[in-house]
Formats: sequence, C-alpha cells, structure tokens
Amino acid sequence: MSLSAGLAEAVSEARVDPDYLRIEKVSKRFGSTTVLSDLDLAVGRGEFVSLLGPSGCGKTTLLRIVAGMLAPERGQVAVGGRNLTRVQTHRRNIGVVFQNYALFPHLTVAENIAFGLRAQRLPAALIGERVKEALAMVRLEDFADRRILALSGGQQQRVAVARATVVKPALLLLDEPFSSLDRKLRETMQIELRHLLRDLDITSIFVTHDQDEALVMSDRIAVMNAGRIEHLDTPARVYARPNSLFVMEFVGQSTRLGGTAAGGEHGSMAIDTGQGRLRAPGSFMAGSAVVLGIRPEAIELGEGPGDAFNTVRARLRDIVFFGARTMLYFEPANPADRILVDLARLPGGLAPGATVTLRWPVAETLVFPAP
Amino acid sequence: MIARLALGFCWCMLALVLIFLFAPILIVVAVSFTESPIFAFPPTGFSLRWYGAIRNADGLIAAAWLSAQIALMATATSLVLGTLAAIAVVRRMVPAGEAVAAFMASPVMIPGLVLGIAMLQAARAFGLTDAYSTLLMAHVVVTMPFVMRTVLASLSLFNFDMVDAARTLGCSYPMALWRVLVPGILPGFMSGALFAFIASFDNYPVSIFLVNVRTKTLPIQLLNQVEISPDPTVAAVATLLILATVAALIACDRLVGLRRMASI
Repeated sequence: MSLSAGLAEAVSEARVDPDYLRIEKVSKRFGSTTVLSDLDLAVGRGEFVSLLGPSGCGKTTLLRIVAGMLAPERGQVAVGGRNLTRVQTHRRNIGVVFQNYALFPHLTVAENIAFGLRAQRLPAALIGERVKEALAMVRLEDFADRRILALSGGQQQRVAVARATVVKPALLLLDEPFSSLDRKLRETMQIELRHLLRDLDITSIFVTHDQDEALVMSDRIAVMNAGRIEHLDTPARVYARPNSLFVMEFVGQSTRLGGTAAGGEHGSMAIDTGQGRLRAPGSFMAGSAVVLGIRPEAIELGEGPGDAFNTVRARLRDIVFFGARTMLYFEPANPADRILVDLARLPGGLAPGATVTLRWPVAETLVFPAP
Repeated sequence: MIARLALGFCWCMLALVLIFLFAPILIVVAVSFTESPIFAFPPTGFSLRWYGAIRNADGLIAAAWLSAQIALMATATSLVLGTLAAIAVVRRMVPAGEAVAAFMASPVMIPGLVLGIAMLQAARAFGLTDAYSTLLMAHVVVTMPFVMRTVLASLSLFNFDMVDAARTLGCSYPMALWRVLVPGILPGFMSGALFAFIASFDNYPVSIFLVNVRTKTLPIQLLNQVEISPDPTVAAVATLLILATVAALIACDRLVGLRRMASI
C-alpha cells in the first residue's frame, strides 16, 4: 500500500466518524497556574493527530487527561461515543507509549508484550499467539526471551509500541516516543511507526515538541500554546498558512519583518517596514503594528515580473549549506527583523557581502498583528 | 618502600578490625559446643548437650516463638504501611511529605528507653493492657524507620511511568503496584525487611517496658536465663540465631543479590 493511498483511506475513514475522539471544554489547573483552558479537540477514526508545542504548553497534561491519569476540573473526554471522563484508567482501553517507554525491566520482551493480555485474563494459548504476531509485527521474533535492558533504544521503542497495540486499544497515545533516539534512527522509526499504525488502523494522538516529527507523521497537527490549540489543520496548511505569529515561528523557519499598516483596499494593503513599503493580502487598521512572515522557499533572487511580487534589496551575510538545500541569511535594515532565503541551488558567483534583490509573491506574504 | 609499608599497615588494621568484630561471635559459637556447665573460654570437650538444654530451659522456646511472631508481623505491617506512605511522599500526594518521612524515620534516632517509656505511658493512657498487641504496635514503630529509609531510596529511583503503563494495560492501581512496583523495588524491600526483622527480633530497651510475666520476648528471656543459670544454653541459642542470620543472608542473595540490596 502506497503512502498516498493509505492517506486517502485514512482521511475517508475520518470523514465517516470525525468525532471518534471528542475532547470538550477541558480545563486543568495546577495550583494557581492554568495549564489547559476550555480546550476542544475532535479526532476522526483512524486519524493520526499530533499535539505540537513548546514545553509547558499543556500537551502532555492533555494526554494524561485523555489516558485518565489526571482528572480535568471541567469538560469531558469521549472515545467512540463513550464518555470516559469518570472512567478509571484501566477500564478505558487506551494504549500509551511513554517517553521513556516505561517497559518492565523484571520481565522479558515477550512477557512485557503479554502484560496487557494477561490483565484481560485471556486464555494462555491465545496470549501466546497474539504475542507472537506482535513480535513479528515489530520484527523482534528473535528477542522474545531477552531482558529489556539488553535491548537497544530502537528495539525498546518497538517493544513499547507492540505492548501498547497488542491489546487492540480504542486509542493510542504517544508521548514523545522518539526523543531518546539518535537522529538517523529517529527518521527511520518515524516512517516505520507511521506505516505500522496505519496498517493496524489505530487512532493515534502524538505529543511532540519537534515540528519536523509532527510534519512527517501527522494527518493533522494541533499547534498548542499556553493551554490552547492555536491551529489545527493538515501539516501542509499549518506550514503554508499558519493562523498566528506563534504558529509561524514554531513550525518551520521564516523571514520576519516588523512594520506598520499604511492603508489599502480590496483585501490588499500596504505596510511600511525597515525594507521599504511592501504589500500583503488582508486588512488592518491604518497605523496598527503588524509583523510580516514569508517562508524561506517562497523567496527568489532577482526582480519580479509584474506587480504581483514584493521586492526588497538586502546585503548577504552568510551562506549555510545543508546538502539538498542552501540557506541564505541577509542583513535586515532593522536588527529585530530576520531575512532568510532557502534555495535548492546556489547561483554561481554569489558571496557574502553582495547586495541582492529578493522577490516573493504578495499572495505568499503572511500578516499578523504585532505581539 | 613507603607505599609498601603503608599497604602492609592497612592490611594489619583490616585484620585487627575483623578480629575485633568476629572474635566474640566465634567465642560464643565455640562455647556453645562445650561439655562443661560453665560459660568459659576455651571450651572443654565437645558436646551438643546445651542445644538439648534449650528445650528444657524455662520459657526460651516460647519467647523465641513470640519474638518471631512479633518480628514477622511488625515487619509485614511496616512494609505495607511504610511503602504506601513512601509512595505518598515520593509522589507528593500529601503536603509536607518530607516532614512526614522524617517523622516516620525518627524512632531510630530516639533512645530505645525513651521510646519504651513513652509507649508504656501511651498504652496506659489508652487503657491498653494486652502485652501482645502493645508489643506489636511498639515494634511497628521500631521497624518503620528501616523500611522507610530503604523503600524511599528505592522509590526515588523507580520510574512511576511503569505504574501508569500497567494501568493503561488494564491493571487497577493496587494491582499495578503489586505487579510492577513490588518487583521493581524488591531489593529495597528485602534489605528493609531484613533490617526491620532483626531490629524487632533483638529489641531490648523498648520491649522491656511492655512485656509481662507470660509474654516475654527472646532478648529479655535470654537475659533472665543468664541471671538464673549462667550456663552455655544462651551460647547455643546465640549460635542458632547466627546460623539463621547467615541462612537469611544467603536466601536474600539468591533472590535478589546482596550487591543490589547493599546498593539501596
């Protein structure tokens, strides 16, 4: 099954039951700090949704509330139409892959995987069969009798996934499961886990502070900030059309220019910035302070054809080579600003110190109220 | 040359310390096999008659049995209560957890005599006249610090996500504690239990205030025995206790390893 076909399938299934997981008006405070305030979230059946945000934004708290390890002050959580708010953790049938995996070191790999099945008091023969299937699924057949501490980080993660999914949970929660793996392994495991969960058709909530991870893995991303969901949409739309300055800054990199709205009409307006007068779609009161954002790959070198482009001139400060791409850093007129351009191929003869003309489509200029 | 001298000096000190620690034990063991009815070293001849004499000695067996019961029950009670209290402290479920932990570990720092008098007064005040239950309660207080100390140390290294993991896999909270936390901190349990048992079994200063004529623990009965008939029967009892201690250490080593227990 190709990835895109799988995506189409998952999306259509999510349409069938778009409220499979329903979180309504959930609030949580620790002492005098409000961690979550009236948070709503609906996740479709079979969907993979990431909760993305900086530490302290409430994403792990939300996860623990869904799992029943924390009780919310207000609001409710329902899965498949069943209200779980007052149901104890062990009766929720929600699987969790913990950040440190929380595997049981006194048990073998197979015993770890069998733990949930034993708690359900299934017949021994059936448990053996299911454990065997799960071991095959995560390619650890030869490790059944190993001790947990004798496994590598990647293997431990696969055991944790097998242990959480073998009980066929109604919902799977993943709490930063890649954070202790090295980068290369992390990338492999991300794709592998994505395929595995799609094959198992398990609805998943994935907590991460790593935007790349969220972009790679998710059907939808919920960007969280200070106890609220700021933006919930597909990775492509969250990236291209972030609906707040916070989301733009947190997901991906971008050029950022502060300015003042100078009036406009028909949904297009002029903004005075340190780089001169620029145009952007949208409407703000004349004189209000705004911030412009442009994704680095939207910007090209050279004059634009016609007036559908914004044009600025800036001095090149630094060239950083990333292999497949090259990032150019420019010196903005206002030191609080930032100008960066992402090029697939570096034109010959370009060196730091050169003054270059940059252009980008007006339509790709994002405008936010200044914080 | 100086290094070698220093090393030799260290070895000598080590040998002296070991002799100082073990010689009394060896003397007691040797005396227990004597033929003569006098508690004297070196022993004369070889016999097991003092082991036979334990049975006939007044109340020794009964006292040993009582001490074993009290020590076992006090240790078990301390383990359950102490572990639950330690969980509450480590997981910050109660305010001023540190103070609670310090309080529960404090009896070990109070002189036994003071504790014994206090216990006696308290029992009187509450109208508690039964020596057996008073002893048991006092010994829970005496054993609690040993359990608290080791269990707190083990719990601070324990990953509580494992308990949550067990719960998400279908175990109720008490079941999750039993199936994941207990095996996880078994070394701490074992060493805590061992120290607690020994502290209760050979406790003298607290027990002396709480026993009566019919209810006497082994240490008190042994001292009586020495006063009444100072023969090597007590040496035989002591040798059996040493044997039991060695057996317990070997059992612990087999179960969880002394190295792991000592590291708690």
